[in-house]
Amino acid sequence: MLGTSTTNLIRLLQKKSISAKELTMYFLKRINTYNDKLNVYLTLMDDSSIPTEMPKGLLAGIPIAVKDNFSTAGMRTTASAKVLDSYVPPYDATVTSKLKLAGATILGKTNMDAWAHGSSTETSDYGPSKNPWDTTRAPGGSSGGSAVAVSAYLAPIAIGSETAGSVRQPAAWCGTVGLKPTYGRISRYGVIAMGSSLDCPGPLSATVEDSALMLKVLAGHDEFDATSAQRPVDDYVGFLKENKKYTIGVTDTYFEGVEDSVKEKVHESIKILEKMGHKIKKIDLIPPKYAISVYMIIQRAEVSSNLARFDGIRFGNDRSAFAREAKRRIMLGAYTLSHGYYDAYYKKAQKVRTLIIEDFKRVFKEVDMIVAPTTPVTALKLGEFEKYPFFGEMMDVLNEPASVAGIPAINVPGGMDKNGLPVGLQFIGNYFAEKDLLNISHQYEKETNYFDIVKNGFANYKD
Amino acid sequence: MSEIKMTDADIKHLGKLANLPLIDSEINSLRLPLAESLDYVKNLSDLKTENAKETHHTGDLLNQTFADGTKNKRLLTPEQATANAAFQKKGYFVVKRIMHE
Repeated sequence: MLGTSTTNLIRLLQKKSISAKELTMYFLKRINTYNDKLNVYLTLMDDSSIPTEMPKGLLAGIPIAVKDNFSTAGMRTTASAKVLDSYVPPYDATVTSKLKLAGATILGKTNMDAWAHGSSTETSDYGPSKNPWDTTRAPGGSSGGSAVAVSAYLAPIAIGSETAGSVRQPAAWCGTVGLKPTYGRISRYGVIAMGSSLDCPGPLSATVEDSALMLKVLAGHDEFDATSAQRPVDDYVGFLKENKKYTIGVTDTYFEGVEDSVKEKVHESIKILEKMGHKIKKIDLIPPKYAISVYMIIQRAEVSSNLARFDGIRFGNDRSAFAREAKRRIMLGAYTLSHGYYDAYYKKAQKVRTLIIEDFKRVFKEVDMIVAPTTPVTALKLGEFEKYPFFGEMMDVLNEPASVAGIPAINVPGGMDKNGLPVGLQFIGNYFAEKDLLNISHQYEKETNYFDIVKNGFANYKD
Repeated sequence: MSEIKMTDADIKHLGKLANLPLIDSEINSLRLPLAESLDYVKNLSDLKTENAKETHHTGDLLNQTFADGTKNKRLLTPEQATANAAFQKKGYFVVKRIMHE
């Protein structure tokens, strides 16, 4: 059973080769064995929630790990922050209720950077998660727990969320597939808000097919999220069968400051894509360093507004329970939104955001998608983040342009570096082009089998 | 070295604006990261934005309104709403007195 994809688990469940109860028990046993070592789950399901009968739906009987910033009715939800240490939501996020309606079982809630502020899970008030490839290293973040859950097979599939890089970057560092959809494709209702104009829920999985299936379940307009997109949901799984030939853009600016071993692997992958019959085209894009600044201003501003609601009156602890990273971000946001500074910072950032969007729109007239490294380096040692003034932004530099523009992107494992750590490759697409990103990623998966990275990762965590 | 200087008074004022209680050691540890972040974002002045409109939302949505009755579906009962409150009485939140005689 070890390493069986979600899609194949569904087949086994339908053939009655295994029951929903047995499958849930299997993962709970693995969690029991490895959770102390990897610090993935903050809260686990009650035994009383273990399915006794086969549910109905697209994900019937599938156990799923959910990042701890998705509200789960009756199940503690902390966003890895002591402010919410004992918070038990009275309602489900739309993502949570869609999973339940599809017949899935929520195994538990995964560790993350507190409030999703960070890119290593080291800002979690409950201690960092560990990278399954080397437990002295960080798994990336903020959806680090979800990435580790998938990579060490402590769940067949997991839900994460991305404001800028929080799905793709941990997926890259842990060697899994991670999809950040178009802003608005999946409802944000019930997600503990960070940057409301940026936040996107997204799946982390072992295969592209699993990611396509999960997107099909989660995507769609939500009457409770006014910013969710009205347009119909594509048949992401069915579209995988098409063997599309794409024109793929490559830009030098996404290779600046990138470690040589990462560059090398991404260039090898570009050659593979070319050999598969896709056309590679050189393009120009605004350098990602400007997206860092736009993101830093807009995200901090939205954080300072969103986190103002945590006053300890209606739920959670009072504001003295905020840790340092949250304080830094809230205060920077308060600064840039202040009278006299608003035009120089916030308004300027919103204008540059427009330039970045227009820049992508121009490029997507020439190419179907862009290929680039997901991260400038592979997984860093735990503790390294302290050395950077804004670690998250430096690690997410190649993710931030797509997030600022609200366009979709996907990470796939793209080889191993000299230290035996996974390298992430990302495809960035036009608005609502998820089906094309999944299509190219699926083709790449069939061609390379991800150099056996996903498979070898599972083998390190035997039953 | 950071070019932007943040004084103790600046940081205390931001703490007040953000409703965050700060202790002295935090004021010191916040000074440099805040100044470094503000220094970094100065690079935006490299880009000309005279003719650019501001983006508030990437989806071009206009006049989003709730359908009648939608909001009612997600109403919480007073018991549900106050279940997580540290202090509550008969389905109400108990807060500190804000007005005095």
